[in-house]
Amino acid sequence: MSENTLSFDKPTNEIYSSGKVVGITDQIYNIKGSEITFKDVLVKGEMSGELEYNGVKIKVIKVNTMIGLEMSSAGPRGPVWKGVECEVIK
Amino acid sequence: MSISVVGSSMQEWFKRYSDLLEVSFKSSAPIKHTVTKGESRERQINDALKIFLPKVISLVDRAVIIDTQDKQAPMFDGVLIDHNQWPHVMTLDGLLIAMIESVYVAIEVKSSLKKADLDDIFKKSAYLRTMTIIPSDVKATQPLVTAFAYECSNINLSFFDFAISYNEIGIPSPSQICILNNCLFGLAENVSGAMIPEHVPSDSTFPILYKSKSDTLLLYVYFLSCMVGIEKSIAKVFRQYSEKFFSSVPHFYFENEFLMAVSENSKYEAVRNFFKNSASVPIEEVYAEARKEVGLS
Repeated sequence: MSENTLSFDKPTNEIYSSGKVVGITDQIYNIKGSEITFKDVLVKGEMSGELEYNGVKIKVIKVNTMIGLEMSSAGPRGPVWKGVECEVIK
Repeated sequence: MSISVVGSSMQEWFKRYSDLLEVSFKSSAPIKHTVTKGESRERQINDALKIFLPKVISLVDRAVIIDTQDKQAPMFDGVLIDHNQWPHVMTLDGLLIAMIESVYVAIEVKSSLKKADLDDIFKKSAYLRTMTIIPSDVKATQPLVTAFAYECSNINLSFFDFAISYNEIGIPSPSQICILNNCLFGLAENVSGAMIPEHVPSDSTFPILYKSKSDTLLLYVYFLSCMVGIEKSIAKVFRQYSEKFFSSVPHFYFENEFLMAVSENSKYEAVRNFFKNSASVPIEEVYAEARKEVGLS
């Protein structure tokens, strides 16, 4: 039988800082290990310092590309960060 | 009686209350009049839930649930309804007539859980959850069904029966069955690699056994509170009062390939007998043998 972890918190694609949503990732990422890179993040607030993503504390260490306004098939969106490298804070 | 394992204060209070319920259940055993005994046991758990659950919802002991097609649901032992926003009718002898749209959860109480009891719960659930509902801005979903049993002589067999019935009946199925001081049969779904408890039956949910032992009442109250719509932030705070428990609830589930194999296979009775004859064996071990019986490794 597969051993799946039981969690009462439904995973979301929201990045939190002090209880507020500051970023939305393009998909739900499952963080295993000490780092994670989000391909695409729609920035909603201040993304510096200690952040929380699905119960895991993370910190942004590098951003590949920052786009002010991105045109997509769904219309304009932004600011958008691409290739957001984060480390897990213990 | 529950075995005392030190947990949070919240856990301890729920455990003590569970013990009181169990003592009261056993002390009503000598009552020869079955109806009186049954009513006393229903009233007891309803009285407990009235204390524990948020007051935004009312727990009514006797209610007839109706829909716009004039269908009436079978009588449940307790009904969680929104008494604030929805008008109701009361009969002269105190029976509440409730529009199905005002009902959040229907509760069935059983003294003990056997196959016949499970079948009855599923039958009532299937009837209620297929009645007509008119969506509104306040509520747009079918009522959910749960059950509470004071005891169960063979958890392995009952969970197997629950899982098979859920697999066959699907969305009209009950969401949970709580067995006092033992465990809770519920539902879960896989979300991005994590297993998340879910109380609404759907195509993506599957049966799960929460081996909550003396914390079963705590877990049941938590789930019922979620089912009547408490805010996620409130649910999170509630969990933090028993953080250690909620962070590692022992659980078990049958993999879908096994349930499908049992349903399609002529070996249903043989597989069922594995669980029937292994009441005191850990369910994981019985499952391993049952998988071989249907040709799975």
